[in-house]
Amino acid sequence: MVAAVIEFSEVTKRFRDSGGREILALDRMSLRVESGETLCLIGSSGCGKTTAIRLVNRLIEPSRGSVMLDSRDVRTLDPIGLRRRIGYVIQTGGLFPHMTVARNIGLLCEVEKWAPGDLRRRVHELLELVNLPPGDFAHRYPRDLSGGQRQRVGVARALALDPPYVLMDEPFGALDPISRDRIHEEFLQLRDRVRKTIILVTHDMAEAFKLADRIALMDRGQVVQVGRGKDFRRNPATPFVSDFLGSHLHEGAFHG
Amino acid sequence: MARFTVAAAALLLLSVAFVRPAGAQESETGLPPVVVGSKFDVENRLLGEILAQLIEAHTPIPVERRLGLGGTAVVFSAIQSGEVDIYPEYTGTGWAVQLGLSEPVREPLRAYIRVAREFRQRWNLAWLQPFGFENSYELAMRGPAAERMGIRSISDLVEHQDEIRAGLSHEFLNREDGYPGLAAAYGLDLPNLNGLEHGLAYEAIISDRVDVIDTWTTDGKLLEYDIRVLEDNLGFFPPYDAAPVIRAETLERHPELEALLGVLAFRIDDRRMQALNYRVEEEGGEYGEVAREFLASEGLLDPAVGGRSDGGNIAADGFLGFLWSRQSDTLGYLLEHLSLTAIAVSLAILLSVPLGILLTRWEPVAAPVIGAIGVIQTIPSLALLAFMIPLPFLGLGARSAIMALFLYALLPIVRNTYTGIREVDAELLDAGRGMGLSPGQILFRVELPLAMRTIMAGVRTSTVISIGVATLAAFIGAGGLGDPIVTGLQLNDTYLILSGALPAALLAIIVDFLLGRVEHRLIPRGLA
Repeated sequence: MVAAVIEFSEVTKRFRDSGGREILALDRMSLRVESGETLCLIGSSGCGKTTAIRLVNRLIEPSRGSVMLDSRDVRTLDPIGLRRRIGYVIQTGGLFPHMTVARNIGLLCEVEKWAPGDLRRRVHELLELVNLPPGDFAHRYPRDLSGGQRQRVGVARALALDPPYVLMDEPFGALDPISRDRIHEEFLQLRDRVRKTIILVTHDMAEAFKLADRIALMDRGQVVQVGRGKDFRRNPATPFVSDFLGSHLHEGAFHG
Repeated sequence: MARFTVAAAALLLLSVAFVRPAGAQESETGLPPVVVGSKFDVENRLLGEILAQLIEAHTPIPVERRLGLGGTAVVFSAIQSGEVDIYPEYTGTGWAVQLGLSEPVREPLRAYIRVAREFRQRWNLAWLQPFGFENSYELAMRGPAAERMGIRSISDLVEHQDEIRAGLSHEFLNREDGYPGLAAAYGLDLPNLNGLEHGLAYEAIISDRVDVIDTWTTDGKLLEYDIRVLEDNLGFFPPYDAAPVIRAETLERHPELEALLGVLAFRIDDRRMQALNYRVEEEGGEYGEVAREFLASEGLLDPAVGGRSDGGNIAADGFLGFLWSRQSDTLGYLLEHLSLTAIAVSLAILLSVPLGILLTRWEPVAAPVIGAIGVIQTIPSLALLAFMIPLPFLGLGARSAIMALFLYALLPIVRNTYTGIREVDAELLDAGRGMGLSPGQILFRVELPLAMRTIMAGVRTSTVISIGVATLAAFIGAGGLGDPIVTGLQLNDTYLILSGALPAALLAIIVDFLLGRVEHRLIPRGLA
């Protein structure tokens, strides 16, 4: 199997804010995500973690440096084709309110002109995968779903074309703690069944410890430390890391 | 969606069939017709009819009637562009309105010569010999009121101006030879002054709602009511001798017309004209019939020819009976009205929706473009209609009406499309882009469905406005339900007005209801 990797090399990204001032969102950031792993990108707000994943599916372009996908610079790839190989889940789910659950999930199959029978089978399969009985949910509209159910549909939609990569931007951030625990468990089961290369952005250290194979902690546009959860606890690389762990770990329940 | 598009296209094609064919058609004789036009007041229309019948009776030239056009501006614009060949005009109007002369003139001959010379030089239009009557503007009061206040002249009026309620016609209020000039000449400054459609003025003055109105020398209604004309003691109003105005090109093509129409010269004096107007306004005579009577009595018509009968007024019992007796006319007007509106709004949708979408992609120009389209909305409807007449391809009739309605319909649809798409949640666009939808797929599958409710609100607004404005299409000869309204206003015939106004109102309500159903179908269910 070809190593499916995402690699950031020396990526710099500058924005201008509404007042015209320049903001340095990423500052020569480098990071390598290995094939099949779930990497949590963590940091406080404004550290550049969301900017980093939006570079992968070319929602934005780097000012400097490059993002490689399977050893190819993403800027050389057609953005539409690229995005269809990368599942994308955002915090609120981003479900289209005018489409049923089934149409939301099957939308990409539809634009890829799948046969109706294949499409229906795929939608049912995905709904079962995220523990939503198709008979009950396929024809509902997003407004009739709970937050957790919407997030499950969002995940199912991202997996529709069976992409090798998935980007998740604070996917469970808006859920209440109980739903979040449930969906975490489901995520872990799901991850074992469909082995993908996943980058999951979060600001919740407990979530990162629970879900990640590896964690990358970011601060001011740079990756400060990369490693497994236990590496962080045993060997914080800088005082910032220990501070971050100290201030974030007792916030939520720790299951690590 | 596809089925809906096909149905809409079919409806549009069908509606084209009901539009009044525009412009001159070749006749059986192969000669291009002479188009006789007129303004929409009774006298001008009647004179137009007289000219038309005279030409029909004594030449083989086919005649096309474009009578009852919306006021001086519309008819004059039509004769300049060649949509009309001949129409009756007044020297004072030519002096003050077309030539814009502000210097006073008292001598009728001087006014006639100057106007005739300048019309020829500037517009290649010829004034034929005058009919022989003068139809001046006048101010008039209810007899008893004038008696009580001791008002006999306009100067007397100035002394009592604070106690006076005035209702003046819109054209009079805006003409240099009307209220503005009059006020300056007499030092008149009426504190209680309202614009009033002339057709309603007599009702208003008789029922004591106003004290002063503007009238014309030959107005037939003056014979009916106890109304006193105030003396123009300072001689402000110019002479208003009526005469046919004809395109010089038409005269070259048909030189015999000059001699033929010359037989009308000085044949109608003030009293005669007033009596003819009275026949139409108060006795319910048809224009064709009254014109024929006049020509026959002057020995200008072979009585054996007879002409067509317009049927005359049907003595109907009550308004419902009246409506019933006119059902086929009303249906015809209704279909015309519907067609004008349907074509205009459909064209407006075809332009506005893509334009609104484009503006969301090109923000810097959005505000200026929407502002510019908004300016159209501020042009008074009748003026906009008049602007269309000289334009190539438009002219008098349905095309101009459709163009004007189309321009009015743009703003609500452009603005709502733009706003509707801009209001789509940025997060949804991000989700769509991030999952790999192309810009076209985002537009058609996300933005347009989510903006549909707002876009449809714009379409409904435009449609209801268009149905209303289309009643004015009658002023430029495009027919529709405005036809009976305009005629009814001139004849002070309430039933006739209602026979146009009620169906128009009903049409607006029904169409809005049907569009509501369409909207219901088009708006995705998850949003309802």
